[in-house]
Amino acid sequence: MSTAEPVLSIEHVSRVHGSGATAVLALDGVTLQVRVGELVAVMGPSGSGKSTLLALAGGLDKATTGAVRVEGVELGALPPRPLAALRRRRIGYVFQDFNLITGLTATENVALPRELDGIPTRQARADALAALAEVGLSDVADRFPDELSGGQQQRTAIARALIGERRLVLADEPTGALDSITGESVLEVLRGRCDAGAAGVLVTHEPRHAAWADRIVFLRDGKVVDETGDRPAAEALLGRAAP
Amino acid sequence: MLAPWRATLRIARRTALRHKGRSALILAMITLPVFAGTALEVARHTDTLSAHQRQVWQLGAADVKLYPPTHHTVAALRQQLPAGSRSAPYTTGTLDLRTATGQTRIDAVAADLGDSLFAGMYRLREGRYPRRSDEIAVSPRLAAERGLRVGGTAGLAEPDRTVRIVGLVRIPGDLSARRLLVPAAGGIEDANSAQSLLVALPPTARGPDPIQRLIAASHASGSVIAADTVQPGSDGTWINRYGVTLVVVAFAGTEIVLLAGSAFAVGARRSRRELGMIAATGGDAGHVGRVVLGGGLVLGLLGATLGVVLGALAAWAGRPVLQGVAGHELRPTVLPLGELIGLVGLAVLAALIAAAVPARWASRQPVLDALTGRAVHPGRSPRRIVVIGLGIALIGGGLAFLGATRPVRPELVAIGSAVGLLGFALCAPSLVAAVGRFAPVLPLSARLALRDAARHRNRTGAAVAAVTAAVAGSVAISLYNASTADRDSRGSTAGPIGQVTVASDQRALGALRPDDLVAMARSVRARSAVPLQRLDVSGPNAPQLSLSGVCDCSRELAAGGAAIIRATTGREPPAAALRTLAEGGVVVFQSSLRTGDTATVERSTGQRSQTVNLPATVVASRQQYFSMPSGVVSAATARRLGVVPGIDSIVLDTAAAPSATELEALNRVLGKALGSRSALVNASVATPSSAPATNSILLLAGASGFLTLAATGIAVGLSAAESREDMALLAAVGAAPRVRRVLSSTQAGLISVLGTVLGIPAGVIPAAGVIGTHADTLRFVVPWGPLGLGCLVAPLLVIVLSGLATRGNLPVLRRLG
Repeated sequence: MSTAEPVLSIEHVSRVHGSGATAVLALDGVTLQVRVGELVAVMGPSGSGKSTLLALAGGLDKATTGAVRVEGVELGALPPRPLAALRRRRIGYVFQDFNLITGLTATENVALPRELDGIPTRQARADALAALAEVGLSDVADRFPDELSGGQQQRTAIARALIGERRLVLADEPTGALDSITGESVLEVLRGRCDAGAAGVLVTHEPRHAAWADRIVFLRDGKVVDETGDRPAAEALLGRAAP
Repeated sequence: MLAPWRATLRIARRTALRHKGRSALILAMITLPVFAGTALEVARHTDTLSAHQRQVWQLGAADVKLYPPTHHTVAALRQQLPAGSRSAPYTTGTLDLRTATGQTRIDAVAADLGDSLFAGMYRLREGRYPRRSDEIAVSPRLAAERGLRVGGTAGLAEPDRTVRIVGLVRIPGDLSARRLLVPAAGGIEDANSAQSLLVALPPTARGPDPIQRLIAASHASGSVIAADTVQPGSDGTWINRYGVTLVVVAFAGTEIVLLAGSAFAVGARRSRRELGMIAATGGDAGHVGRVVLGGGLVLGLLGATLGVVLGALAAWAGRPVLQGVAGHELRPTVLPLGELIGLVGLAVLAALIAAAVPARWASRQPVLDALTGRAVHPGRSPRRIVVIGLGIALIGGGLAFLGATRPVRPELVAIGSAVGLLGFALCAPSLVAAVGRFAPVLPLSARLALRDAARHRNRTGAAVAAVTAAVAGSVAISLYNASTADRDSRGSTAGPIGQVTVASDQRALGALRPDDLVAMARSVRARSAVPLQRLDVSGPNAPQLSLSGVCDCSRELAAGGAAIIRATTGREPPAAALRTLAEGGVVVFQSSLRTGDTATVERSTGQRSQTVNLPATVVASRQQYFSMPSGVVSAATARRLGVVPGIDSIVLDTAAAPSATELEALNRVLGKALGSRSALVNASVATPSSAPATNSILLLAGASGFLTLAATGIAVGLSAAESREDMALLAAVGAAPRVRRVLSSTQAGLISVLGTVLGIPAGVIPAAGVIGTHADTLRFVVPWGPLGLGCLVAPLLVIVLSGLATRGNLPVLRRLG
């Protein structure tokens, strides 16, 4: 395991939705660090705060207390524009329901963060095609999302999350809408990216998908209730042999 | 840094293509006004005459048209022209054309039109120009109306004779002219004919203008030569309602921004998740906003371009119609590129403004809420928004008021109207929220509708604002129309509509026999032919009588009896009025002319005048007529006051407006009765002073009504889409299908009622402003009936149509988490 500075650092973070009588404590004093090359799985029952944790890590939401840092930069202190810039340059987010823009082709969807960052369109598209090749989608690069299968859409979304020099990849139930074989291939891509130097957080319900991770963090009622230390231990915990 | 713009515009363009219905609606809102503006501008430029064109139509190839001094001849004038000048005599007047039912007076020209000096002034279409005294040419309009043709004959009267029609001559400067053309020696001899000379100076003329020297010399000698100069044209020819046009453009532009803005708001809501994806991918607020603004840019450009192309095509295709309206030949179609580019720019700007608020809303959406579809319910609506909105409306009203006061400034009225409308529209969301508080006391469907509207008050408010704009337009049009109708009903006309007045010199009219009067009355089915003996037309040094007092009327006094009273007021004179006349008093037709029991009559001789009070009776006339007297005394009373009455005209007291053939028959009777054409006979028919522009107003009213329905439809449709889950739940628990219809109708009713409430005062501002700029002729009149009906009918119609258009069955959906 790498001993470098963590890519993602969540320190005593709490998140409260609403206020007064309707306030809901989604996360309660959670601490988590993810380093380069690490893939951490986050598991727990519905309502345990998994998606909230991921949203905070990706800068899509703001912590009520505590600090979230990506590569040493505290997200809560960033104004909206620099935060958006960080999201499109350094953080890749994969959603359960793909979240591709239906009016853009696969290439254009993948190129979108680069184009929004001011990279010339031609260069951005070249980068997008390379990312699509990495996930095995070169032959469907010009298709629109509704012309792609679920697995192809999710791999397009992953390519979008991986394009450029993303150091942090966050995946919220990326295999939820896919069949098992397709799901495994998606996780393979994620795993490969982490092995290549990124840090990853995977939210999942499936123990067999969590087995791809180096560590598993268990959440219940917004708190970390358990955590495995390394992959073999995780596999043992799940009753499976390592892949 | 073009890449972000290209990306966001690409998304905007493709989104517009995907939602064709909504995009078509926005396109229509932008294209239609640009189309109308382009067609009008192209038509205006095409209709604008150059100075050279104007000169050719007035003077042909000549340099000037000269009129000889009084009692001098054209031939004598010719002798005084500079050596080498070319000239041609030109006489205008009238000829009497015999018809199947009588005769009618037609404008005529006597000239040798084959002379090159007339080139451009007249254009031969068929046959040749007349050369002999028994030949004429006719204008195409007259030929078409009277069934005249080249090779045929026509009958002229006074003296009766038959002439051959040898040519059809078009008058480029007056295509609708009814004209008879005879040779220069053809003879147009009537009291009002005018002889002139078209003159072309020799090419070698040098030094100070020899014609000016000639005219100056004529002034010095006392025998003045007059000259026709080419009149400079006025800018904007037949479109000369600058102030009203400006207000309409400003108001319509604001309406478009509000209506299109409502549609853009719907689009932004529908695309909320997609916009959230852009933010999640790393797009900042600017990128997200640019996608929505990009929609405004794309649709604005497309709509404006379409509008310009269609408008230019319509103006080109409509040349025959335009020519008919303009009444003269047109220059080749002109495309004023500067103005058209300006129109495109304005339309794009309007579209961008319309998209601006939805863009800002979209850019401020929390990313996670947009992705998950979590509804964002605004907190309690701050009351200060209403205060601000009403304050802005007040400022708008103030500006319009300032613009309507002297000196009149239509641009202030325009700005004030737009600001007022925006102020009222700003109040819409808060008003929706306030009404939503009544939800708990209502039945289920209505409660759902009101709560939904209040919880999404910004969406509902946008629709209410759009309806406000549409209703304001309708209200403004109604008020203006009522004001012009009031002006027309108040306006002075010559006499009761359809009444015929025959004017001529006293000697000719005095020579008419009773049989002649009977024949005249019979020819136009008049009740009587009443000689009108005015008491102020005897001559500069003869005593004259007139009425004195405060009155917006002629104050003329006539001598007569029951017949004059009947002809002026349209009613039988009461016995009291006849008694007053017999006893030496005066009957007046306006109550303001009587003070107590008397009226003041002024007797003036030259510069001296004295007044006398006579017993007076009022027989009120329906309105004031400028060719009829304001009072009558008996002939004996007039002589007692030292005035000898003289017949000024004959009034034919008709029961209905005479037809054209009846007027021709009258002219024939007059010609026979009066004999020589040296007396001017003028049979005129009283007509309304002006007719309101009902077609354009109806068009505007129709467009306003359509926009009201469209705006409401957009909002109700969006609400229905967003409430599908709630509807599915209602179906699951057993709610009746009509629940959906009632809900939809309630939403539609809420939007249209609130829009009407805000739209009425918003429409009053521009109407009051425009009426104020014409305060000398218009007054503020409220058409309570039509306005009330319109304010009731529109919401009712929307409620009914909304209910009918909504499917009764509830959707059965998997409830989305």
